[in-house]
Amino acid sequence: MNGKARLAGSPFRWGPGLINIAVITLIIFAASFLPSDTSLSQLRKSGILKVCAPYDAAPLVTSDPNQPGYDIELLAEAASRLGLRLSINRNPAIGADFNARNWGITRSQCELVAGGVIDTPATRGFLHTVPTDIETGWVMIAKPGDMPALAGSRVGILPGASGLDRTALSRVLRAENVDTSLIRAPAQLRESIENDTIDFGITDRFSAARIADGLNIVWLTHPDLPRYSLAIGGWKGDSSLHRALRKQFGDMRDDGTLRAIRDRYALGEPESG
Amino acid sequence: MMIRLLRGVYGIWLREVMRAMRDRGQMVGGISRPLIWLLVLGIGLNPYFRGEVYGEVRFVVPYTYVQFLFPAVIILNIMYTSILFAVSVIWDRQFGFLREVLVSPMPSWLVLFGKILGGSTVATMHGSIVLILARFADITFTVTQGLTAIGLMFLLSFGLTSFGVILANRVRSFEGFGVFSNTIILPLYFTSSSIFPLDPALSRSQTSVVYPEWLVMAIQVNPITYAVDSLRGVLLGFNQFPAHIGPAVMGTMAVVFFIIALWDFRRP
Repeated sequence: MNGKARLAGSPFRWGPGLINIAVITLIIFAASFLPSDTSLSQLRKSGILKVCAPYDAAPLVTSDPNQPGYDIELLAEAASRLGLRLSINRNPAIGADFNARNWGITRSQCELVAGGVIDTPATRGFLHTVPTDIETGWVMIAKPGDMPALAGSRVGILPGASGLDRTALSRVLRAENVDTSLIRAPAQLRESIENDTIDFGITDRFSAARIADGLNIVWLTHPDLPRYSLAIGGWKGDSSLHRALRKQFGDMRDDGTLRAIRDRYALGEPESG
Repeated sequence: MMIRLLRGVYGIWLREVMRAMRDRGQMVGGISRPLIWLLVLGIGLNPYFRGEVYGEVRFVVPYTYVQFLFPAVIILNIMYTSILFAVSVIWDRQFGFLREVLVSPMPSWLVLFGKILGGSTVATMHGSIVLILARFADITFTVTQGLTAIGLMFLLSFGLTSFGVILANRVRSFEGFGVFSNTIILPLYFTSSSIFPLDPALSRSQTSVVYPEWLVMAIQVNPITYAVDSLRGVLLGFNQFPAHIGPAVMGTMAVVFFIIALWDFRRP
């Protein structure tokens, strides 16, 4: 009986084929560890991680050096773990205009963008996003007590400069036959609620939190108005830097650093509407 | 009787899978394509699609160029393996294996089914191997997403292997088949929105401003376009076309091509 005949019908007949599969799997697995770009290696050479951020987007970015904001503390910790020094490039246009093109941020100014980047498909068309542990979305803000029903009510809208989907909000409000009025500033929204000019206000989570003192805030829940993760934005194509950042955020989540920073900024959740 | 028939199908399937797994040349082809396309072309073109000014990019899709290319490279690996698998049909015909099998008590459709099943399994294996490069392309997916992707790969592999058998029945020499496959695989691949996106935010008339009408038409009538789109939907969560079209097109391809292959196979 020759060797081939002995192998027929035995499990060893898979041997040569499986060895071939194992070899090519190993080659491809090894190739998957090659760096896909130079973004991280360039940063390691310079030693500085530059971040574009607004002057004030509390609680994510503030001008208080003792409490610089959730995003800034997160990035400072990640940069330190990567052996880099964080440098903040303040840009007054961020937060003043919801159209990111008008912010004029270029690759030479910073490697990352912080302070309210929302992880939506629209944002991901322009930036690579690394989500943080914080969510945002549209909220309803009203006087204490039961939140009025959406349908047929008088609502003040403070769209702010967040990247939430305004078109979807407008569609939902039209469908619910809501009487809307546009509000220009947080103080005006608070005044309108207190004067009963409107039944309640709708704005993004953090704008609401700024004027929430004594008012009731709940998430605006609707299938067409999802909540989104906040994120740190990076340039599309800088995969090695984003992968390293995501790993640092994961490690910080595991060792409790992320929770500690979140607690320091009292980033609790609004109630569900 | 049923068990005997199933054992027959299993035997033919096993022969095809074993032969492919032991064929080092085929295995090298299975890894060289993804390595060249992703590592060389993907990285080479990546800087041209990256952002330089926030709010101003040419490539307004929610992923990087390497991520965009990744599902298409899986499809390319499947296309080559599936269609070139039909060479084995020519081989079997020339060396008499088919004659031996066809005089067995097994119905001819089961013989063909076993062969195509074997080819589809090998092509799915070649497609799945590319998933190992997901880390390089910075793509993460869940087990469910991975299994769904493998299911879609198998559906496409079955249709394309049947298509390869149809070609093999019309081109009866090895040399002729080699030329034929290259004039079919590459044009189908390049006109499947595999290496450049059709922006889903644009209307048909707006798209025609960016690309000539004939190219847009070629992409939209190409069934591989919907296979690539379907895999992008599963692995990246982004579809250029309605998500149900891809599986429907691949399912139709599998059924129609198998019926035509069977029709050809039964002809003397």
